[in-house]
Amino acid sequence: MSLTIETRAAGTTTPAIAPALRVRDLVTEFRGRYGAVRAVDGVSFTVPRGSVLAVIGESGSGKSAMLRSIIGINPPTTLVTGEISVGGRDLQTMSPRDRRTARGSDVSMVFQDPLTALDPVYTVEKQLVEAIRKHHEGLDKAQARQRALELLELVRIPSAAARLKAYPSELSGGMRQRVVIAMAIAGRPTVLLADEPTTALDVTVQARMMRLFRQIQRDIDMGLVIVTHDLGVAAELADEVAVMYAGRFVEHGTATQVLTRPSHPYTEGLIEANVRAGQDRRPNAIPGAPPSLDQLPPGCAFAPRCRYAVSACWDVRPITQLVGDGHSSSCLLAS
Amino acid sequence: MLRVAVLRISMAVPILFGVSVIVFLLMNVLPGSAEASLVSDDMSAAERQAIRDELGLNDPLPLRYLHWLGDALQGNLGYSAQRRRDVSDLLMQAWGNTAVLALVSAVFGISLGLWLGYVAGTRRGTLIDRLTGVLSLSGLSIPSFFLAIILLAVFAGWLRLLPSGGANLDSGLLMALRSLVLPVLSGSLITMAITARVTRASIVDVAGADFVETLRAKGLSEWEVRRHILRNAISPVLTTSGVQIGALLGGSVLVETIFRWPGMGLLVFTAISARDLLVVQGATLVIAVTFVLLNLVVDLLQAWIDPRVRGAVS
Ligand SMILES: Nc1ncnc2c1ncn2[C@@H]1O[C@H](COP(=O)(O)OP(=O)(O)OP(=O)(O)O)[C@@H](O)[C@H]1O
Ligand SMILES: [Mg+2]
Repeated sequence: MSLTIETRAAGTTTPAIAPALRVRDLVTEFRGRYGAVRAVDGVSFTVPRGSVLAVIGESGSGKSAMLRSIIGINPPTTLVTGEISVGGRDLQTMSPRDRRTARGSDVSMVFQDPLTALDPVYTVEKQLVEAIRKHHEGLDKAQARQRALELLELVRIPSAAARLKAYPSELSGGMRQRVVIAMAIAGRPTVLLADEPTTALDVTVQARMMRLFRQIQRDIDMGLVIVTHDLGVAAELADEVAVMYAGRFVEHGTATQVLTRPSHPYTEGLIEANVRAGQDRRPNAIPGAPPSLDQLPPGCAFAPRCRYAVSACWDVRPITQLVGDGHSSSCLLAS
Repeated sequence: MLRVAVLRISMAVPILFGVSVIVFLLMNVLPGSAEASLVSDDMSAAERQAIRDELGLNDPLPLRYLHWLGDALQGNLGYSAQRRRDVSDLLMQAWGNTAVLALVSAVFGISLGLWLGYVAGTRRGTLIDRLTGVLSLSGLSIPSFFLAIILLAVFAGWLRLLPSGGANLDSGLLMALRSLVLPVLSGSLITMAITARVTRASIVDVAGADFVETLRAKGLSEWEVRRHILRNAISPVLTTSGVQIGALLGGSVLVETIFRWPGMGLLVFTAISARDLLVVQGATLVIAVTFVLLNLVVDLLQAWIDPRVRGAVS
């Protein structure tokens, strides 16, 4: 099959060394009638081109909020600060219009539930063509259709030509997720964000989908940030793993470092829970529940649930420290 | 789509048949049957019998139905002794007048309601949204006859800007429009209110759907996103619009009476008062058939717009 999505020519508009995604001190606050909730609280990381970052963490830790802030689709009342650079272009300082057109071409997103992610009243082709023409203004309809077909082949949808004419409701969940992915890469994004892209699919489809992500990500040489509850996926797919808790990265390093030599007690707990949980991949077996974001304790947010906690943990907010080469942890006791 | 169309149309046939049976039975089984209008108390029993024979009223019921249906299909719905006109003539004229009023009211009420609902739904929580809420609630709670009387008093009585009644459809566009203004305003307020509410609710519902995030993530502009939302939200609006138009085509007795608009509502009202049963029967039939056909059109439109409706049928 011909590779129709060529890699971005290095050095044309941006220096080749610019990482796919660079995030510095990202803060996301949802402002509501009853005050503000800080869902993301000072997160920094870098995703090189062709590399995969997996983000793990319990429900409510701010993973989705982080991805939404990066692509910029939070509700208008949301306050997002910090630096978000994609391929060296700072999204935060762009005009609203440029920020919008950056969606789909600089940064794309795949959502959790493929069953509801597509517009039910348009055919797959219409939706793909819409995305393609948004980001390739020179293409006429016929060329865009041809490209839609190639995209479906790229995400390995069998009998792609027939699928183009289908409505989303006529496709299985796995097929729909492939369409969603095809749409997300239609504008040749520099970085792709995937928010639990397989959680809604059944287990056999999950593995295939993960392989697809790997292949596509190599093909296009894009950065990939994938949120997952499945540590197996993280181990298999990711170059780096970040562990999120109460809006912060509490541990971050290579997949091997984080998953085999965890430094933070929370990571340790997630790994144990994942082993125990077996098929049911939701890591929910750490005693206690994540803290409510509007009343975080003054010290370490994990202290109330931590089996190693000493009294200092309750009072001092731990800073992030290096515990190995490129391996960082926010635990007072880490060394 | 063609299959859906054939299916829907073939479903309408038995419904129309059922409608005709019911209309026929109601008029023939209820006390005070058709010959009552021709028979007077001072006739002898033999004279009455002759009339009954002549009208075929002594035949068995199914046979009478077939006769009636055959006549009706040829456009013969009997003769109104009171009005001294063919019932079908009366109906045709009244239906035409009502249709003009109904269509103008529908276009006015539905487009205004659609626009208000769209504005409110896409700017949820703003002042405009709340004003629309108040407006549509008033539209639902102010009875049309009350509004009609107020409008009459102000525009016809006090300001003398508009005629107080009658359908002036044949003497030029301007006259026609002038005679339409007040009945349309009073008759379409409720249509506007219902359409606005349904549109707003539907848009709010669709705007919260997951796929809208995908559209934004694709880089679509707010206008392009709204086009998707509207297209998805239109289905329930279409359904209520069908019902609204159906109700308008039936003719509003109150509005037509107040404005002396010679439509179906006024015709039925006078026919009932005069016990002109053939007219009542014919009007019932025409209104019911209009409704069924209108529903058919709405169903087909729905299937055309929404692939899920199509899927559910085939
Ligand atoms: N639009 C919003 N307005 C207010 N609070 C929000 C909003 N979206 C998310 N939150 C809050 O932000 C916090 C983080 O939510 P988020 O959805 O990012 O968690 P998550 O890590 O993705 O969890 P999950 O694994 O369940 O998807 C939660 O406490 C949530 O209630
Ligand atoms: Mg989430």
